[in-house]
This record gives sequence, C-alpha cells and structure tokens, in this order.
Amino acid sequence: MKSTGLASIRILIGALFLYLGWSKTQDPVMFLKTIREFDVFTAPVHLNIVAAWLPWFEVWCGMLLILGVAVQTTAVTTGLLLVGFTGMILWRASQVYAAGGIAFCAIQFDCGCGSGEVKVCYKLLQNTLLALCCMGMAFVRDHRWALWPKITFPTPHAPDNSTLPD
Amino acid sequence: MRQNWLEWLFVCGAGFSLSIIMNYHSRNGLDISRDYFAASVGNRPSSSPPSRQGEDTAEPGAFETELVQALERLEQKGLQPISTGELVALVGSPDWESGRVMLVDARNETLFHESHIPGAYLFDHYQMERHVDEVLPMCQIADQVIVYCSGGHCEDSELAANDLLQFGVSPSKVFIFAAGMRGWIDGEYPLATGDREDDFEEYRDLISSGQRVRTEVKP
Repeated sequence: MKSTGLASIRILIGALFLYLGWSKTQDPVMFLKTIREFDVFTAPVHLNIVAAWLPWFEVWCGMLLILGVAVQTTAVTTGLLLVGFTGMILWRASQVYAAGGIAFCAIQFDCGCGSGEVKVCYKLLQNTLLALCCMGMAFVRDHRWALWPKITFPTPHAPDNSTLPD
Repeated sequence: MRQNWLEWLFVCGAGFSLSIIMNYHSRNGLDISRDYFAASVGNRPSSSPPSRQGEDTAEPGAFETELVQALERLEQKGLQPISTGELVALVGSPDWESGRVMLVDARNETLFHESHIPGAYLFDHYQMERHVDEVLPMCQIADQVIVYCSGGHCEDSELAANDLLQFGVSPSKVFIFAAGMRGWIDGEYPLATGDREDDFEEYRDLISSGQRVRTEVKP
C-alpha cells in the first residue's frame, strides 16, 4: 500500500514535470523572455543555453520519473532544480517587494514555470512541497512500477582461485 | 560508487545532450549562438511586469503609461514612432494597396494567424530566417515600413525594425506603431485572420465605410 502511494507520487511529479516542460518547449521564445527578466544570466549565450536546455531537460526528468528509471538520482536532480527555481522566484519577488507598495503575498508574475502568471506565495509553497517530495523519493528503496530504478552494469567477476593449480 | 557516478552521468549528461539535440531539431528551437536582444538598450520593458494580486492589467491609464515608456525607448534607439491616427489614415490608402506603405507584424506565427492588421507581413524577430526572403524585397519597394507587435511593453517591433535596418532598409522609412495590436483592437479597426492575403478590396470597403467593428475577414 505504502509503495503504491510512493509510486503514485513519483508518477504524478513526473507527469507534472513532463507537462510543464513540454508547454515550455512549444514556446521557447516566451521562456527566453521570461528568464531574461530575472537578470541572472547576462551573457546571451548563457541565457540561450538555459532557455534551450531547461524545458527539454524537464521533459527528460519527467519521463524518467514516470518510467521509473534511475529514480533516486532523477529525484535528487528534480529536487535541486526545484530548489533553484524557488530561489530565483524568491529573489525576484523580494526585489519587487523591496521596490515597495505591494504586500509580499499579493505579488504575482509569470515565473516562466509554464503555468502562466502565478501568486508568489502559492508558487513558493508549491515548489517547496514538490522539492521535499523529490528529496524524500531519494531515500525510498522500494520502487513499485519502476522500469529500471537503479542503473546497474555487470561487474567483472574476480578470478576463482580455487581452480588454480598449487 | 562507480555505478552511482554512471547514473548521474546518465541522468544529467544524457539529459543535457538530448535537450540540446531536441532544441536543435525542434521547429521552435532557439539559436544558441544568436544574441536575440542585441538591439535592446536601457529602459528595458518587461513582457510580464509583476502585478498586485487581483489587479486588472487593463485598467485605464496603465496602457497609456506603457505607451509613454515605449515612445521614450524609441527615442533612445533613434526609431520613428507612428500614431494610431496616422496609421489608420494610411491603411486603406492607394499607397497601402500598391505596397508603398508596408505593414510588418513582428509577433509570432500563432498570434499573427489569430489576427493582424490587414495587409501586414509576418516577420518574427526570433524566427526571422523564415520570413526574411518574403519581407525584405517588399521593404525595398516600400516608402514606409511600419512595424508593430502587441503594443505597450512589447519590444519585438523594435527588435524586428533593427533587423530590417541591419539588412539595409533605410532608417528614414522604418516606423514603429507603438500602440501595436492592442491599440488597433481597442480602436475596433478591421482585422484579418489566418495567412496574409492581398484581398484589399474587402479591407478598403470596411475602412471607407467608416466601420469600426472588429471583423474577421477570412477565417
């Protein structure tokens, strides 16, 4: 029962990443414009790489989570991505807040998350919960409905010394 | 430990490589080597400015403020603005029909197909290689090239105008319609949908009849 619930959470988070990533891949220019407003990446090539890479990488991580491939590593990766996104949203929101006149939880903008304009407090809470779920997934050993939960490669066998002549 | 690193390499390394490959092959993919905002200087507009919760972004006065900021930006960049009244006088004129007055829509293909100013050519700054062969020869013929995008905060018309200048179009004939589609729609002037068509007669009838109703010319 517990493992079924954990697998459902994994698939749900994977589906969310897949959906949000895919929606960004359909309009990467909009995503490029949005992340430009964060003023984090000043060099055009850095801005372009992030705008080109991130949506497809989210799709990739979403697929890995749904299929259950390299679950722990993918969970940590998505968790780190979410921590990064949350930090950026918090940074931009604090800039708006510092400019004055708006209560923190009344601020809303398009964070480039793929879901349009959002209320900052709601988004921060959502991202924190998702990041905690992802980090929690990294400690789960029981992987139901997972195709290849841990990527393992055959290790070379040690020579059997018992058959060797004295 | 070794296998753990292989797993990281698989998730992050393969993920990064695949993402770049997918972007390269995607129809909407970005050109990583291009500086899309090279022509953007100072007073940078925001495509989605932060707002208060529940704030009506269409409140009276907000768009006018955006327009004032846009006009300041145009002055900074040395681009010539054109007002809604001037554009209305040109659209429907014989010069507009003959191509002496040319309209350039700098938004993306989806928005262009939804609605555009009649007779406008599509020229998306971010995908300009798709449109340049059609638009550039027409710019050379035209006496006035009027570029617009969504209006207000939208900077795409300025970036597209800069592209045209880079391609050798004379700066004296490039104008920016800062009010853009929002100003045009607010004025309830005729609209065309779908691909660009040279069906000037229908547009002319609408405009000359003084009809100020938003009209879908050809779905």
